[in-house]
Amino acid sequence: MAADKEKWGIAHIFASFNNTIITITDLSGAETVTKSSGGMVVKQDRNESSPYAAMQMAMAVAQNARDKGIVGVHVKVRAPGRGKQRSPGPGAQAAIRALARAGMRIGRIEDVTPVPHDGIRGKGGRRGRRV
Amino acid sequence: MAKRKQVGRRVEGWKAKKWYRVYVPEAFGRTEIGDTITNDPANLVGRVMTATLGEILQDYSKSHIKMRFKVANVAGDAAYTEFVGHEVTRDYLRSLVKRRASRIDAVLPVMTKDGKRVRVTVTCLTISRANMSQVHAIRQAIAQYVTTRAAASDMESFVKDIMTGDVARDLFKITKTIYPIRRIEITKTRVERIAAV
Repeated sequence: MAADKEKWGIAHIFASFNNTIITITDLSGAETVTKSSGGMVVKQDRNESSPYAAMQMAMAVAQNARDKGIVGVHVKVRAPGRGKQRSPGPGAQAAIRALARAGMRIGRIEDVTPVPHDGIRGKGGRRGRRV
Repeated sequence: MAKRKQVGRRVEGWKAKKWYRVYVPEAFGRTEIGDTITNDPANLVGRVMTATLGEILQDYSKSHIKMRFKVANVAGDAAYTEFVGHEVTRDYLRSLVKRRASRIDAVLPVMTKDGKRVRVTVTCLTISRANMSQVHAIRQAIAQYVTTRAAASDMESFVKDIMTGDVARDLFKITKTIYPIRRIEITKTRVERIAAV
């Protein structure tokens, strides 16, 4: 059918401080092409969010996507958001760079962190986090 | 466990799926905005594709506007869409907002001449901070103008006017008599209901 044309997808990168999840979908976001998360590449739970893990994931995901005919991706970066931190975790940067290094073409990069217009009370209580 | 089973099925099913080309409506020149894959064309209807206006018009000064298109019908390997809304990218909007100046948002449900309900969000940025009465006056002026403008034209031409910036330009002219305006932008639209044909 339309197989000869170069196909693009969307790389959804969810980067929190505890994990990074990369999902590559088609342009509508309804069909998943491939996905990977921290636990698939590292042993220790605390390393799931590390840039190294993100690199490994991005490489695997890029390889997989290329096999299925995706040559480039638009990137949608997301942090936990809502009541939690709104800046992406340590894996986001590394994942994007690794995707590019693995030969994927990168289209637009966008931040899609859910940001509330009002929001809820921050975690930690009235006197803050007491360590 | 259940998850693993699903993954296995999907990998097998990938070859069974077919690619479909997605086209924007006639009003935007029926350009192709990308491909989507499915094993059943019936699943295609209702999917929402996003493309920047810059991509559609080959005009890179307009790549901060995201257009949303919903697949309406499928013919062969082509999927035809209808416009369901647009949004300005978050980084663009945030670059416009400045301290010590008012940001005036107006969310307006309007009705176009052909009976389509569109929700329009207008963001107006002043040069310095405005009084509340001025803010209210500006919001009222915006509401009045957008409502009459929508009622005078059908959805397609209304949306086109928004995209070309005509509506924003006219709004600028109206509102600047009330208070000095730095920028006025239509940041979001959403087509709420499409009347039965």
